Amino acid sequence: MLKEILLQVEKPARYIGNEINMVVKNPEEVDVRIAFCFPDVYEVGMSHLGLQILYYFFNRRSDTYCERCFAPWYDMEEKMREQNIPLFALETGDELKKFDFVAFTLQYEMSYTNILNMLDLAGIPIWACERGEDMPIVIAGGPCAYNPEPLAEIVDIFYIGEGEVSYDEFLDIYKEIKARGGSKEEFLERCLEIDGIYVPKFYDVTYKENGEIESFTPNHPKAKKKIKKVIVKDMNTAFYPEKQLVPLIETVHDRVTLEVFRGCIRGCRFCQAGYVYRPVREKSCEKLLGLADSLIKNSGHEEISLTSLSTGDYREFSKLANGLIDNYAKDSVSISLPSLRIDAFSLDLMEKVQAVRKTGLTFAPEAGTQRLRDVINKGITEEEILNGCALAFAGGWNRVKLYFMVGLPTETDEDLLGIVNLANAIVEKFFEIPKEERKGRPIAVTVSSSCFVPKPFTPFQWAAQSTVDEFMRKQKYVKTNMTRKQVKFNYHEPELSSLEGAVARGDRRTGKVLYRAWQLGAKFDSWSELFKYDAWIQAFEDVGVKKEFYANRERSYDEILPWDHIDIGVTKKFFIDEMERAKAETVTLNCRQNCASCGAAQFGGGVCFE
Amino acid sequence: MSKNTNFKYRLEFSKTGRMIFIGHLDTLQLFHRAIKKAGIRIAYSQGFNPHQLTTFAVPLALGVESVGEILDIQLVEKMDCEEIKNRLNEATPLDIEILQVIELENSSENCASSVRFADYCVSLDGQYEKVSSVVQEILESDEILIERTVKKKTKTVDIRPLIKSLTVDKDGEKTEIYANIATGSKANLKIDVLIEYIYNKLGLEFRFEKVDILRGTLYTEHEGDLLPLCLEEEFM
Ligand code: SF4
Repeated sequence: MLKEILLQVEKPARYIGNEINMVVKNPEEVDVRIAFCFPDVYEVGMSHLGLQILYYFFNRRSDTYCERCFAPWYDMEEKMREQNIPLFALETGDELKKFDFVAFTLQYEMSYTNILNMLDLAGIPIWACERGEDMPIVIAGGPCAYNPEPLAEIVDIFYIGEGEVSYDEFLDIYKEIKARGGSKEEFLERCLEIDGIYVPKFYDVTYKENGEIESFTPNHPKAKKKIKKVIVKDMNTAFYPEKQLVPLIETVHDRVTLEVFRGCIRGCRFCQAGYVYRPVREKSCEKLLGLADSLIKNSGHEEISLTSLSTGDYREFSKLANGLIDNYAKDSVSISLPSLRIDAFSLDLMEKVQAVRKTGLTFAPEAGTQRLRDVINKGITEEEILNGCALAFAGGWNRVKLYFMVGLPTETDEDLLGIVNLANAIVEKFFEIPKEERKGRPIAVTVSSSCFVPKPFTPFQWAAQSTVDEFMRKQKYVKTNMTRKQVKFNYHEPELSSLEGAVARGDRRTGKVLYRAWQLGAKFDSWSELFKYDAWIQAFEDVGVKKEFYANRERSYDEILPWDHIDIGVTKKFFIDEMERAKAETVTLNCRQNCASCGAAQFGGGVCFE
Repeated sequence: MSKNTNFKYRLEFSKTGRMIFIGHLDTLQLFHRAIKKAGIRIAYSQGFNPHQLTTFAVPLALGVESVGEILDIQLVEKMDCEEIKNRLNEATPLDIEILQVIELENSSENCASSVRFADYCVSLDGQYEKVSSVVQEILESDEILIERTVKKKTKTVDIRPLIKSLTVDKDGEKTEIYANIATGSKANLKIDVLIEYIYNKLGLEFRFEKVDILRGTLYTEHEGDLLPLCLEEEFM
C-alpha cells in the first residue's frame, strides 16, 4: 500500500529514511522512543544542524531510540488522509502515537501550523489537555521556544536552551517513572526540578481589560518563577557527532557542517539569535580540524561548511581555514565560508577555496544610512562595503548581493533612500575600474529587502512593527527610486512578516488563532504557493483577538511580556538600556572590544572570561 | 589524450526495499559518497568540474527492484575485489548490497556501451491461465506493433524483435512473468511498455505503481551469446 502511494507522490525519498549513517535499533529493546519532528519538508529539516546533533545525542544512549519525522508535503498528506495512514517516523515506519515523546524543533514561527497538522495527521489530539496517558508527551525546543506561550496549551514541555545539557537527566527520570508504571502527571511534576524545563500547565495567566498580561504565576509549589536557559559551558568537551546523516536526495544544504562557535559577539539590536545564544563559546582549532576529519570520512560529502552566526569573528579563523584548505583541497572537498566580512584577507581566502568560480559577494548592511545602522548597532560602514567591493571588482568579481530590512525602528524615508544610494554607489565603484580591466563583464547588484519583525529578547521587543500597508508603501518607495538598470530589487511580501510579528510576540491566546488558522487550511505558511493569508485574518477575527495588538503596538517597559518568565541570562535592564541607546543612535561595542555587562557572564564561560 | 592508467572495476549490486524510491541520479550521488566514505581512491575526470569516473550500465526506473545493477568505477590504485565489496557494503545504506566485484582489463568497453539485454520478473495477482495464453500469442507473432508517443509525435514500433524470451510461472496466488528484453543504447524496450501491452490484452488497466517489477541480470552479447555483464574474464 505504502509503495503504491509513494510512487504517486513527488520525491518519495522524503518518506523512507535509510540514509547513510541512519541509526538502526530494535525498538523493542529500548526504554524510550523519541520522534524528533521538524515541522517542514524533509529537504529543509535535513539541512538543519540542530537535528543532526540531537539525533546522535539521543541515540548515543542505548536505552533510547530517536527517529525522525518531517511534515509531509501536501500531495503525500492527501494520500495519507485518503488511506487513513497515520503520520510515521522514518526509521521504523511506526506511527507517532507509539512513541514516548514527540519532539518538535521550533525554528521559525511560521512553521507552527505544521506542528498542529502533524499532530493531527498522527491522530494525536492537538490540545495538551485532551491528551491522556496513552498519548505521547509533546515536547518542543529550539530558538522560538524562548517565547513558548503561543504553543503553551499545545506542547506539554518546553526545553529552554541547548539540548546537550539537561536531556540526559530528563530521560533518566522518565525511564525510572515509566519502569514503575508512574503517570504522566508525575513525570511533568518531576520535570519542575530539571534546569531549563518549562511546563506551561503549572502556570496561570490573567489579563487586564486592555488585553495586557496582568499576572503570570506558578500554580504548583515546585514550579520556578523563572526558567533559566541551560547552555554548554565548554564547547570542546560538549557532545558533537562525528558523523552526519547523508540524505539520499538533494536537500537545501548537502554538506558537512562544522559548528565553529555558538553565540555572537556583535549585538545587532534586531537579532534574536545574537542574544539568546550568548555568550560566545568557541571550539578550539584542533578540535575543529579533528571533527572535520571524522565528519568528512564518515559522510562521503564533498563540501564542508563552517557555520556560526558570524564565522569571521572566530579567533583562530585563518588558522582553521588554512588548515582545512591544506587538508582537503587535494581531495576534491570544497570549503564554504558563509557570512564573512569582505576584506583583502577574506577575498584571498575565497579565491583559494572557490577555485575558479567567482560567485557573488554578499553584504548585509540591513539599513540604508549610517544613522539607522547605528540605531540597530550593525557595525558595518558604507566605506567598508565600498572598499570591499572595490577590492573584489579588481579581483574579478562582478556580482553583489545586498540585504536590507525595512520598517526598522526610527526609520524615515531618508533611510529608505539610503538603500538606493548605497546600491548606486556600488555600481559607481565598478565603473571606476578602467574599462579595459572590466573585460566586458557587466556589473549586477541585487538588493533584497525584507520586512523587519521585532522579536522577543531583543532591545526592539517593545517596538511596534510596521503594518502591512506601511510595509507596502516603504517597499514601493524604494522600488520607485531604484532606477539604475544594473540594480535589481527584490522584496518580501509583507503579509507573512506581519503574521510572524504577531505570533513571535504572541501570548497564550495566540494559540487559539493558530488552531483556527490551521482549521481554515493554513499550513506550510512560509511556502508562498501554499500561504493563505486570508485564513489567518479570518482566524484572528473568529477568535476575537487583534493581530495589531501583537504586531503593531508599542509596549511600555513595565508591561509584563508573555516571555518574562523565561530567563536567557541577558537582563531586561540591559535590553532597556540598549533600546535607549538605539533611540540615541549610540553604538554599543562588541563583547571583545568592551563588555557591556549584559548578564550572560553568569553562565561562567565563553567570551565573558576570555 | 594521455593513456588511461586507472584501474577499472565492475560492481554488481542489488537495489531493493526502500531504495526503489531513489532515482537514478540520486543513486549515482549515493555511490559517489559511499565510495568516498569507504576510502576507495576513485579517479576523477580532468577539467573545471572534476567528477568521479563512474558509469552505470543503464538507469533503473523508480519503483523497480533490481538484483543485477552494474556500476563501473575507475580507481587510481589497484585494490582487492573483495576489499572493495566489503568496504562499500559497510558504506552503503540498507537495501543496497554489492553482490560481486570484478576487475576489468584497462582496455575494456564500459558497461553502458556493452549492455544489450536484461532479465525482468513481473509479478501480478492470479490470472495465470489468461496470462499464459497472452504470452503464447506474443511468442507466436512475427510482429507486435504498438503506438508510442514521443515528443507529441505518435509512431508505430514493432516490439517483437526486442523480446528475447518470455515465460510465465505460478507462485502460489501470484503469476510471474519472466522476460529477457533488449536494453541499452542500441535497442531498448521498456519493461512497462511490454507489461502494459499484456495488461491491455487481458482487458486490465495497467497502473505502474500496482505492479511489482524486479530486474535481474544485465547481459552483453558475445558472438551471438548472451553473457552476464559481471562475469570474470576467464569465463568468457
Ligand atoms: S557579559 Fe559582556 S562579554 Fe559576556 S556576553 Fe554579555 S556583553 Fe558579551
